[in-house]
Amino acid sequence: MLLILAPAAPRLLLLTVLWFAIGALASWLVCRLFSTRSDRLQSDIEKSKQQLQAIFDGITDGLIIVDREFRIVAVNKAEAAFLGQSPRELVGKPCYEVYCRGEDACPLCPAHETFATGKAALVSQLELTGGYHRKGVDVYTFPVYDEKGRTIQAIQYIKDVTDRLQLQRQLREVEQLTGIGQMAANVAHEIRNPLIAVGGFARQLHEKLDADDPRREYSQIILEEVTRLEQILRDQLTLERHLQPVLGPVDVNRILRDVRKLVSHGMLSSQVRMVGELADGLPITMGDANQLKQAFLNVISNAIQSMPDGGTLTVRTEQHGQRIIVAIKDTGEGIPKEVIDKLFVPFFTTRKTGSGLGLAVTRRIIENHGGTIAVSSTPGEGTTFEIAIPVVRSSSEVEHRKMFGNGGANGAPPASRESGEGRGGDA
Amino acid sequence: MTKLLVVDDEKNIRRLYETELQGDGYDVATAESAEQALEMIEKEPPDLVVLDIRLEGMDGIDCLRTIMEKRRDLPVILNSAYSTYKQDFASWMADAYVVKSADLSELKTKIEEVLQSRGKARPGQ
Repeated sequence: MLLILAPAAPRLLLLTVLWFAIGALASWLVCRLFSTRSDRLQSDIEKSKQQLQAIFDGITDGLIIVDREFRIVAVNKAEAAFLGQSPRELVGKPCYEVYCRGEDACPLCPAHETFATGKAALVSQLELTGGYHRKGVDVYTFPVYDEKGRTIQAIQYIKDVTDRLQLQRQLREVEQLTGIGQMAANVAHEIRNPLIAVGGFARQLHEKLDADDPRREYSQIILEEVTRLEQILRDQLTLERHLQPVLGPVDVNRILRDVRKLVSHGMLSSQVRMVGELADGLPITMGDANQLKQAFLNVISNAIQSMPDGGTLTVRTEQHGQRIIVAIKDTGEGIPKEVIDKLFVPFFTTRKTGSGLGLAVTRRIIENHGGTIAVSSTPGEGTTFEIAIPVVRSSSEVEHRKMFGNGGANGAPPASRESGEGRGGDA
Repeated sequence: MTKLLVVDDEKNIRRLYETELQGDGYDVATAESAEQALEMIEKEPPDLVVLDIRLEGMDGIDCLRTIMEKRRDLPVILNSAYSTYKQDFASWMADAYVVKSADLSELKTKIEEVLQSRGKARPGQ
């Protein structure tokens, strides 16, 4: 209406203005429309990215993604924490530098296979060296394809199997121990019979000789040495005999007091101070008093020997739920990490005079009582052995616990302590 | 004279026990296997059997079982280099269990004790 009514020249101007206005409005509308969509798209992408990251980081096992050059493309929180670096620091580094400190991809890495075949691969129970607490891992790798189906990256899933490896190692040791025990028993038996004949006839000769006959000295030596050999054979068979405890009610505190009496002589000469923190009212449990005495004696003598220049030996008992805890702590030289792993292996010893059977026998005894023994040590500061024995009231319960573990052990407050008991040897 | 039967598969051990126990005044017979021992017990029963456990063929525990079935009144002392058999339920049937040693005094004491408890004469009495 307006256009028709207006004069010709201004009409043209108006038309032009209107044209531009409509154009501007349209383009503004289009721009507006598209920019909203792209913003929304942007935020959607961000959201899925965050979600993916949350999933990636939510997995408590290790996950890393590497490219074909084995450079880390992504790493999840758990794995970064394990490596002690931030994901930002790790991304871009070759994985072999991080894990193996090597110059080329680790030969055992299953990613080689994944890149070659485009399929998932696995290497199980890879033993790791280095100062990590993670000693063994299973590594699974999965392919990541590009749009043409080529494998461009590999996802590595790293599962910590340290516990499983430790269990297997313990089983191997038990087998080793049993095998050695049987062999020792057989050898001992084979030697014993001829030895009895030698000793028996030597005794007859000895008795036939006159008291002043100089040959009596020789026969006497034969007899003494035969007796010594017989004693050695008996000791050799100890390992085998330890298998079957003879059960009766035992008072753990009392056993520890007995052990203290046994070792106090050695302590006086080595300037070791003994502190007893024995809990009052510790329950009586079923066990083999002699075997337990042997077990504690082994640990305590080791502790004393680790303090040649003197120190403090603390023996503490307490009740934790249905378990009696005996902690034996020294302030000695400590045990290096590589030695700790072998500490309970039969015939392993760091001492020139040791048989390497002491702690192996100790662990066997404790396990035969359904208990556990653990050791922690800081070189230069000392070592603590912690022995846990379940409280049992009948011998059949001991058998049960040996087979099914210490069920029902909970952290009840420890009983009050008899502090400073048995302080002695402050030479 | 009190008669003992010593069962052991080691020749020198048999000889040792023979001379030692004869020296104490016993009449000593020896067998190298459980089978031979059972035959001898059948023919001419001794007053007491000293029985090794680890034997070729039938072992000492089975031999002890057979003796108990046939002659409940015959005293048996198990004598083994192993102390582990002491826990074997079957070995409780024996009158005593002595771990082998070059020093035979424990075995000799047990022989005397068992014979006495069974009302059998000790040598020289």
